[in-house]
Amino acid sequence: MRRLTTLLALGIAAAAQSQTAPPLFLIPTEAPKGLTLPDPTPVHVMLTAADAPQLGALLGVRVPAGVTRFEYVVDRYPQLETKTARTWLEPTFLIDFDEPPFAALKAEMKDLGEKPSRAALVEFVNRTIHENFERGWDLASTVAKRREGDCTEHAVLTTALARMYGIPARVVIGAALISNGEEHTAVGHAWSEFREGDLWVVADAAMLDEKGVVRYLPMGVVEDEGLGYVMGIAAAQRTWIQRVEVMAPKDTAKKP
Amino acid sequence: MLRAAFVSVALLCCFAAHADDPQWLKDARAREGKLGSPHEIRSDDNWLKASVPVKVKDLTKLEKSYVITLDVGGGTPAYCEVMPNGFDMADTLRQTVDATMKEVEPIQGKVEAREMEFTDAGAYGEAPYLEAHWLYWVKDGKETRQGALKQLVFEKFGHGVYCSHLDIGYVKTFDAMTRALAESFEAPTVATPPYFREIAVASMAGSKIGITVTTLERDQGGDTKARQISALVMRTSSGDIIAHDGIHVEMVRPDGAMINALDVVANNGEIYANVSVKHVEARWLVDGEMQGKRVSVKLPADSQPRSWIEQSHELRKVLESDKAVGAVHSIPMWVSLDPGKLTDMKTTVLEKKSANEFTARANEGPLEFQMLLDKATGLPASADIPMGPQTVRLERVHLSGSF
Repeated sequence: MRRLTTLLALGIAAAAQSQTAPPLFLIPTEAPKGLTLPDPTPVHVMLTAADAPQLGALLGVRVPAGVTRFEYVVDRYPQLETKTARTWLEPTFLIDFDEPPFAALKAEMKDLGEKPSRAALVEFVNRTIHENFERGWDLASTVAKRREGDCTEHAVLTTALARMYGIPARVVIGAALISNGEEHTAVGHAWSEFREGDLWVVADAAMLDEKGVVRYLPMGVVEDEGLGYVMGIAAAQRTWIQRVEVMAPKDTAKKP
Repeated sequence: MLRAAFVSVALLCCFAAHADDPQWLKDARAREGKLGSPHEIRSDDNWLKASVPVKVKDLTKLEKSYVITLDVGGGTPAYCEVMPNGFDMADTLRQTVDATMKEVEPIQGKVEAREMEFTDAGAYGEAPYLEAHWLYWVKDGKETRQGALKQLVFEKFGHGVYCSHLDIGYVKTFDAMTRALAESFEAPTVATPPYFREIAVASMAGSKIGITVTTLERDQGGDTKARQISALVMRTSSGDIIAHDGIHVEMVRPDGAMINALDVVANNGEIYANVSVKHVEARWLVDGEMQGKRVSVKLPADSQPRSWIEQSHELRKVLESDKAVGAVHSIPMWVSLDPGKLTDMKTTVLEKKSANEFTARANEGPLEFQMLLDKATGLPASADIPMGPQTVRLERVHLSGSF
């Protein structure tokens, strides 16, 4: 039985951001009827996670041990700390922009200039990759060659291209809270972060065409980009958001 | 490669589609064939034999397989193809539904959509199986019509059998036929008969989605080949399957010590990992491919990968002691998803549930989950593994032999 956990780890990594049914990507979300959240309104939410203290620590909220649900304000983009100091510029097993398929991509990108902007890179990846929800977590060179996938492939390729142009970048997994008028949906998601000045900022090629307002709740940085990267991704299950309750402002006021 | 998609004009039976099941569709779904006395199946070369409670229309030997045509009721026969030496169970379901839909199109019209409505997994005796039922909609230029496909794969004696039926209804008949076929199937075994076998089923949100089979076979030198085969299918909202297949083999000495190990994992039929670890010149060497990239790594000099047989023997001792509850057991093991180092497998015994079972927490590298440990084997009888907002439950459904 133990070895099925290996497959499940791969399944978790592959499917948690994919549109499986039952949906692993869809996070149960509740919101008061009629609530709209236009950008850039801060959004008060109650988050439920198996390891809420660890998730809280990532998001900068102190959550006591034993608690599984806590309040959080989605406002400024959280800056996640990592265990190891890195430049986030180097090629790795996962972000392997030193592999041959990137030479062809670079040739296609010559019109973007010597150092393309974040917006230009995101737009390029968005139009280069076509949707395929069957892919798992492909290596960047595989994405560069196949040019298909879901949010994870968008994130991996965006990160690789950024590093190829000397921009520090990393892959993040988490949840996206999408508000379309009175509809609010949270989904498991992956995106890229670029280092700009002192801040990590979102570079999300997968949701570029999303019409609603997207707010990001990062749950972990993919730090291990080596041979064991899948196990690192599967580890994010501990902080995985299991439920999002969007609160109306009046509900927020009642909280101690 | 399976012939897989047994489609002809006569096989097709489609209906106009409606948003909800109308009465005629309910009636079609409720159709069943007649089960009768056993009909023998025997190939001319005597390689395979079995018996089923439905009429056997034909048995043909192809170049690399045997195809059995069976009457499960209605006008559309069911087909079972026997593949000597087996196949990847999860990916066989994925490949054959794709092939079937392609063969449907020229005859009936473009397949507009398909939906997996049901999955099942389990064991017919010692034969593990995976099953999937599909609905599909085709457009013939005028109207949309609906069809259905039932698929089941099982593995026995190292051989793979794929059964399918392209018609709405006849579900219980199909299941009775495949169960009988699996239970009565006889063919020369590929490997040495195992002295231990365990089959566990994975389920999520009420659906059974995968199986894992563990066998122990002793070779002539007294060493043991510990083989674990896993297959897992998840459906996607776009009507596709995500299929994971894996095989892990450890060769161990009579005392359980690792000699070498091999791990192959495939995603949708593409090899994700094909790596081995073996002892070469006083070091453990990992060699193979990960995602198409060559991997050759020496484990640190003081590394000693342990086998899961050693782990289960040691856990038995822990569970037999007076101080089992609260005990923590750790063992370094080699895991192909992080092959460049050993992963600490930690088990914390939490509570005694019965004379033979203890709840425990497993920390396998970064993965953490709860399980129910069986004192007799030192193996988990069940486990609950968080997977996004869902939980995957693993549960033993078959156990025979001992080690």
